[in-house]
Amino acid sequence: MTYSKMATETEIFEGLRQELRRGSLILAVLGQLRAEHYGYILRKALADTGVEIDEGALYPMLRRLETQGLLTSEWREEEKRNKRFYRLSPLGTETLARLIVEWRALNQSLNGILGT
Amino acid sequence: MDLIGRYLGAIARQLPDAQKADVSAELRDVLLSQVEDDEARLGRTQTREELEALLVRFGHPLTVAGRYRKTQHLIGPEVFPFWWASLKMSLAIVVGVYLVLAILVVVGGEDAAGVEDRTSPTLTAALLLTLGAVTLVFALIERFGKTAILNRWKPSQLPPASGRAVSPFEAGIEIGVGVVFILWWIGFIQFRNLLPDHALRLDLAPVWAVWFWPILIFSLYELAANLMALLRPGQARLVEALLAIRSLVAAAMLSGIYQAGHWVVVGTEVLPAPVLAITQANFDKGVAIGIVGAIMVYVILAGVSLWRLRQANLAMAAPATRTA
Repeated sequence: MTYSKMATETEIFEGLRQELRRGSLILAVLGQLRAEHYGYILRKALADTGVEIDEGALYPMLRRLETQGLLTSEWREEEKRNKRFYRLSPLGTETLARLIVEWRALNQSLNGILGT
Repeated sequence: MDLIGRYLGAIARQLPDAQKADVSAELRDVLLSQVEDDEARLGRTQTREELEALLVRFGHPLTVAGRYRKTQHLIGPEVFPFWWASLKMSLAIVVGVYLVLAILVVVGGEDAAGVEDRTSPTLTAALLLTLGAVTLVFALIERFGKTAILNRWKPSQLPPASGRAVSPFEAGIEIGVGVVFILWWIGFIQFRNLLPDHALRLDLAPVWAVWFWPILIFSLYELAANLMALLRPGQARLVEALLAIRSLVAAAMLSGIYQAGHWVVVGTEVLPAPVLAITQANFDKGVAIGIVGAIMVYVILAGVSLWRLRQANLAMAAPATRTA
């Protein structure tokens, strides 16, 4: 197998992996924010569970979810610095519950297809 | 830490005023927390190179700021196929118009330069203008979230599965010919005498002035029918009906024009009167043959359109699954 072919296959896999993960990242962020976190700790908490997310993507995502009314945020001082803390809003809690149902149904279907 | 300040400043410049302070403050805290963690792990102060590497990993300021914008792309994946199809069609029409004009200029040589003078903007500018205009329309659709209007369609509007579809380029040429003819007919562009050495001058006979408005209305109708064929390929029956009417009207008009018996006025300053008379007669004979030929062609085209119309009606009458 040539180097360029291997590179292409890697790129294809990487593209598909990113696509697969994109939707589930929001679910992971919403799930993690059932408890209050500020951005940096949220990212570390996600990484500790195996969900890596780019910093450049996480913070705009948090703003978008807040604009959509799924999160609330407030500035508070901690460790001598002002930090923005996020947590699920009532709408976010309700939406997360519905998304979890969707996720579990999809997961079950995929398990059936993939034979796992 | 001046690097962090510069980095945040570069991001803030790309953000709306309402977001600048808030986003900068949050990102500053994130970056400082990251630096503190790194320094705790290393057991020393971070070097300038390490800080630069951290900022590069965080992302280019334009990329980071861009992610905070509501609009992430000019033409998104949902709108792209519509933009692309419209762009191809529009560019084909522009190329068609300019190709017809270019052919006329080549055929006419310097004598047809009058055409070229009137065709500003240049082809390149016209193509760029078209690209910009089409892109602007679809970018606005994307920006204001009006993508639903693009998805309003019915399977019955699609072109028939059988039969050859007219390519945008072919339609562009036809439309180009129509546009150039109308512009010439209303006097917006002129073609000078194409005959060699200016030995003869050709002018239209008075009969054409009598037929000015019918021919103009007919040409506009034909242009509209061609545009309909291009923009609504699914309306096969309507298009065939329009083309059948076009061909029948053209044949009838040409029959009327044929009655005049004299269609061009030949002028000369070098030929003696008897020779001029013979030349005049020969030109009129040539035009007469051309008109008769055109009538025959239009009658045949009308027959073809009517036959296709009948076939389309029969297909419509058949059960849907059999016509699929």
